[in-house]
Amino acid sequence: MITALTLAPVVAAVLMLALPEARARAVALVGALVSLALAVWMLVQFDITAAGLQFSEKVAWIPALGVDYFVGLDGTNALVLLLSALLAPLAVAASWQHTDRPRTYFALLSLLFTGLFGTFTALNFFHWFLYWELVLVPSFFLIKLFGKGGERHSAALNFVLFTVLGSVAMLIGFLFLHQQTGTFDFIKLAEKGVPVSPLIFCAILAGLWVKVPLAPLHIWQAPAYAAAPTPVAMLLTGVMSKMGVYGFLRIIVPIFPEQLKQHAGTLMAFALLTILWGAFVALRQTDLKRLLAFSSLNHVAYCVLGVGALGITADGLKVDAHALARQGVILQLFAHGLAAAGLFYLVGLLEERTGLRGRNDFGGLSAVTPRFAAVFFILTFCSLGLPFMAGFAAEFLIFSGTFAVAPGVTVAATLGLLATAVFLLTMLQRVFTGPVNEQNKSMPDLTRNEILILTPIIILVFWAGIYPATWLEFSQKLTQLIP
Amino acid sequence: MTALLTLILSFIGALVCGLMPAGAHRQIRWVALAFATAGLGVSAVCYANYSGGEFADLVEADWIPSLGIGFATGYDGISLPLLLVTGLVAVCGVLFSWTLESRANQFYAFYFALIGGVYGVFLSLDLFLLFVFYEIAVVPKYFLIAIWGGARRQFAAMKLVLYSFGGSALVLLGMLAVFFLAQDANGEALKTFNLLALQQAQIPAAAQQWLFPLIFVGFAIMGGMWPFHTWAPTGHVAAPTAASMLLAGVVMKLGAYGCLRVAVGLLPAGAQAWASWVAVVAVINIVYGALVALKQDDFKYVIGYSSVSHMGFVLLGIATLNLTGLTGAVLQMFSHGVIGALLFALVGTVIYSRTKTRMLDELHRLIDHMPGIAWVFVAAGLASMGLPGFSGFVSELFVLLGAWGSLSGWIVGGAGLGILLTFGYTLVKIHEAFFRERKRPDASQAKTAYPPMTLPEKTGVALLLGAALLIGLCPWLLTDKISPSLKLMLERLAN
Amino acid sequence: MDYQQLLLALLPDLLVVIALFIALGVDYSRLRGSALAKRYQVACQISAAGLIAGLAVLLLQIAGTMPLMKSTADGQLVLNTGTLTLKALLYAMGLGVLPLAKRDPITPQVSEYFALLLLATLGMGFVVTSRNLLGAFVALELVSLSLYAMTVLNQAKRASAEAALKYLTFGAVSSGFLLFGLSYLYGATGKLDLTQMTGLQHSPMLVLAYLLIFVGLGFKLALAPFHLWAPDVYQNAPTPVAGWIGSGSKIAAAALLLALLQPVFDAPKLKAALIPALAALAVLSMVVGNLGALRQTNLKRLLAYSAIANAGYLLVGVVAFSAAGNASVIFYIVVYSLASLGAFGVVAVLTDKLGREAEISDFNGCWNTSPGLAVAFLVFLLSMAGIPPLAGFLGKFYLFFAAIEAVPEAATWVDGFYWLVAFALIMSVVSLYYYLRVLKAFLVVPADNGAAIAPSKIGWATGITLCSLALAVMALGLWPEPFLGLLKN
Repeated sequence: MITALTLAPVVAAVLMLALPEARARAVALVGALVSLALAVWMLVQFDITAAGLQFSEKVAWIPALGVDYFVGLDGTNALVLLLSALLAPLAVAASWQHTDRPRTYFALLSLLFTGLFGTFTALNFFHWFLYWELVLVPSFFLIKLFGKGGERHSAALNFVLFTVLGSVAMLIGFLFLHQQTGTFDFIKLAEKGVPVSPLIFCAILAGLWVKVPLAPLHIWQAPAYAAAPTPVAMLLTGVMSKMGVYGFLRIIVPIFPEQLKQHAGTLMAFALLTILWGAFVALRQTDLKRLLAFSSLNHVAYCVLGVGALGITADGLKVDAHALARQGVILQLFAHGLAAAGLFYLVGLLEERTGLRGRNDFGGLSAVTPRFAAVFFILTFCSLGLPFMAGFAAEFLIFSGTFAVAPGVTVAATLGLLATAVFLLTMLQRVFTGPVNEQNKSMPDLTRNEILILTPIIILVFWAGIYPATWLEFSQKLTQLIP
Repeated sequence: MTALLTLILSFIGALVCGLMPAGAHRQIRWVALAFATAGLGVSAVCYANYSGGEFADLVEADWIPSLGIGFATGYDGISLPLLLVTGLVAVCGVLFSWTLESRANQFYAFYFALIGGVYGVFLSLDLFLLFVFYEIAVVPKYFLIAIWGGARRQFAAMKLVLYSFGGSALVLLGMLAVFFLAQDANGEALKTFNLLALQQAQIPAAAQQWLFPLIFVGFAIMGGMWPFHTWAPTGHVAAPTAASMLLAGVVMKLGAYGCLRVAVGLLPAGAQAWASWVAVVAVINIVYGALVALKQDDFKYVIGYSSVSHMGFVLLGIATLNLTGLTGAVLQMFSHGVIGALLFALVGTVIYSRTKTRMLDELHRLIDHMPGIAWVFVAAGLASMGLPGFSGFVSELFVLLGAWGSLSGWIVGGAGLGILLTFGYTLVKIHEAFFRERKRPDASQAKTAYPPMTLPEKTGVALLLGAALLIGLCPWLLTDKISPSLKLMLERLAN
Repeated sequence: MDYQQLLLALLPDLLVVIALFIALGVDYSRLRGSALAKRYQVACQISAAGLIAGLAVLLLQIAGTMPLMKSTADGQLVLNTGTLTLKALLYAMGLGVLPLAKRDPITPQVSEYFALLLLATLGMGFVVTSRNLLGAFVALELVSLSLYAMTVLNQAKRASAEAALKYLTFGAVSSGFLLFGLSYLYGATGKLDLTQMTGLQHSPMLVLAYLLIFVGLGFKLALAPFHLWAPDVYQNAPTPVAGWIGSGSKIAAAALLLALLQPVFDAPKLKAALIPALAALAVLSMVVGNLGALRQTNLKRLLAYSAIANAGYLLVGVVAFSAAGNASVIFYIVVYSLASLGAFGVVAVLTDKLGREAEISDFNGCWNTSPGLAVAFLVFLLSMAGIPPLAGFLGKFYLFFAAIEAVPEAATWVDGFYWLVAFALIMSVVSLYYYLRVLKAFLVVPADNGAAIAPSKIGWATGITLCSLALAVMALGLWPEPFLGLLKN
């Protein structure tokens, strides 16, 4: 099941090579929809009362190294899988009008999907790493070939080099783990509880650190997001930035509980640094895409803050701080994925229509394009963490969790929230209110197709905000299981 | 007898091709393809028939008994992947030389003589025989490069041959010492070149101390070991495509195979003592090769140095002296054989025949002019840089895992640095070749789209890339054959 | 002494002598006014007939169907399978030289040319079968004198005369040294028969004797530093003669050296005293030969330097002072001579229309005009370079094998001959450079201005000669066991 879901886009990509170029987009969409359908079906079937892995598949792969093909679904990855399976067809739909070498483009996009799905479902380091690296390749070329601006080459290269630097460190870390335990299996590694040197822990951490990213290894992010074509940027911010956090949840928390405990403070400090850094740098951005990139940096760092909280002992508290934080993190992944992807899509539309994406290039758009403005407002408010929207529920949970164990840091982090509010609202104000910029007067509003793309996002944003329980249920059992 | 057919067929192929009229290049290439395919077929049959770790298909006969020389051939899990890669590269080499017209009969005569020698080395179970084939493989290289090569071919060919022979001189000396020093369990001198007998024999530990570096370095020169690697890039660059495919694909493996089979296999105590030095040199190979590749302007030099870098992993795997690392080394020999050959084929024939230049700064956004080829190259480049999913990753993983087991963490760290650099230069060079705007665009060249790949080219690419991908995804296809043999070998070494 | 047996034993030589006289007689009497080509034709046929007849008898002797004494008095003739085989080989090679000599009518003194060739061959036959100081010396002088005379046969060429004079002077001096050495040896032992010289004791006199012998034979073998005549002679002598100097006379000299050293085998102290001298000669020859060859542009000169180097390798087997060492030396020199003769043969065939001494670059494009000859040359040169599976490789291998076998366990690098073998190996890598340079002209480079050098007509006799030499070189590499078995006796 999971294998089929993962491989559907690759099959589509192979088919594309055989079929005429004009069919490429349709094939890609079908592939992505198949994955989405499978994901939805699995989540519907998902037994929220059962502990442990579901839909798991395990086949011996390289017995000599103790490598199995091992995939499965549990509370940790159920939501991110859904998120990525949802954004995949949306990204294809968002690039429906793409005309430049469509076969190459959609094939790469499909490969990217497979990489993402695989990363979220693999439970053995061997093929997990395969997918982890596989994500890089198509995104590199998508940015490089189809991106905008002269900076795309260096942006793509920096993106890959940073990530690979982390990956190699992580690879070496896992080699060491394998040396100690003889297995690459995430679940088995968690059970064994290996004592490792701080160096190895740092090496593995580095791989995730770059991917999240956390300051100061985030500098590849903004240029890459800004240079990427819109649908790719949607995936980068919506899904790929979640890979790092997911890595924290899947690897750091279960396999290195001791180390996490030791270094939780440092980790939270860096998360805080990233939150503030992202927020305050975003204040000064005038390029909307870069602004959103930094906003994304800031939001994802909340997740790491939550992860840090999992490492701090929370005995004698009334609330189960760990459960809160964990569920918050998982929900935040989901919520931010939706909102950020949606916002990037909207900015992309803006750029497509006017050729501009400066914060100060627009004005009074709410009058010109009311529907566009409405959606933009909704998603921005979700990002802001307005109640009844997904972002609020998630951030609330995270903060309740972290406050219980680390009140100081949490309070400082709320400073970031404040700055977020400032730059997001400034953005709304500059773009949508005030006098209408002459050249944008005739900007068309959202078309039906575009609304169609945005609808699921809006629905889910509200659903998760108003009734988060539906989504939290998936991770409920999980939090009871693992200390 | 089956396995012997590979080399018999190759030598017959050399003879047949050599005797055909020079003008009949159209017929010759089909004949050549037939012989190469037959060789691959035989290797595949060997592969299918083989199981367990012992030597199979043994053929033993007296040859020159007065010198203790016998004719003994056979193969085990270590030589099997190399037989396969030889067959594969031989077939693809013919495919990528499809348009060759000049002196085609002589070309294939030398080509098959080389291939026959290579098969012979992998099959020999007698040290003398192995050495004979090893040398047989050298001379045709000279002519292949010197006659059909590119710029500076005379120099490159001569350098390559002199390095090769320098190495084999060391080997010959070591081999003679092994012959006279090997004793059986009772301390009686064995006086045999038979590998099977020598593997059981004892060689005084003191002698191993100096014999090991002698033999190891002798073989490793052909394996591209730093600082004796300089023949490799110049040779690869000057060679015609089919020859550089063979050079990178299999000839460098001859050296590595010799290191493993002879140096490590017969001199365990020496290997133990020198392992860390070998590892250090291996890491230098990896890092140095990658760094130099980064600085090259000629596309073929990039690939040439990347070969040097990749062979470092083979040496590192050998230096681990444990099952995982050695498996990795053998796997890497296969993997680099396939991928290195593919890269040389792409750069030397597919791209060069269209652009007529290999200088990176003269290439101009090839991705627009030859998208299909560009993507194939990208895939090959990714395979070369060890992207998971391709054979390179699996083999490097095995090697690194093995290295954790027996060598210092610094070595692994150094290898990790090498991997990073590999990523770096691969991406940079892909960018320079396929994506970069040329500084002084040449109007006549910039507009034209190049013709797509021809059928032989496509077939060759599919074979090689397919093999890399297959082993990347299903490494057990080879490891199941390799590991039992290595295990036996390690057990013998432990005694 | 049984004269009948002696007659039988010497029957091959007698046949050759008879042929020699017939050739002379026919040429002087009946063919005075005939065309040069015709005279060459007839002289060659008669000489060939003589050699073939001699060879046939030799083969019968080897096969044992002809009764003969094992050794005549004082070791004047030692006829056993080994020596007879060598003699037969020399006859066969001499037979091979004939068609080469016939191709190029360099001199009007036709019958003298062939008579000298036969005389040289005859002398070589005696050298390899003789174990008597005097007999061997006389035989060796017979060889040398014939070769001096043949070198100067091409009177049209000034350089030829100069080279011959040089050859003669050096040769005469070397004979003097050799004779000195032999007489000291006789003086020290009181015996002329080498087979009788047993239980030698170490004495300065003996060491001096052997050193003088080394000097003398060093000239014949072209060992450095006694090699100075070789390049000039090789270059300027008629090519077939140069080929015969570089092959047959080498076999004779090497065989004599081994025979002279045989008594030393049981005298460890003497052996120890002689080894450094031999090793030094070996090293020096390898260096001078190989480094000297690197700079040559004239093919025959290059082959001369290669001959010097090869003489150096030869001594690596000599220093082993063992049965295997002797066998390896004979094997090597035979193999080398076959290849050398072949190489000179190819050169002779290709250059007989050139009219001057060929530079290496003259052979550019041979692969196109005469591919067969190019391949044959490839075989000969690769064999000299020591590339398997050709015989030259096995020859070198056997030399090194024997040298290591002499002292296999070495505590330090100066013990045993590992260092000498290592040096020889390094030098053979160097040698590859110039061999390949020559082969490059033959097989790689296209002709300079479209006109590659080509023979007018190879002819069946030359063709068979070259083919059989090439086949022999290959066969001795691939299946040396029968020949090795013979040598071991």
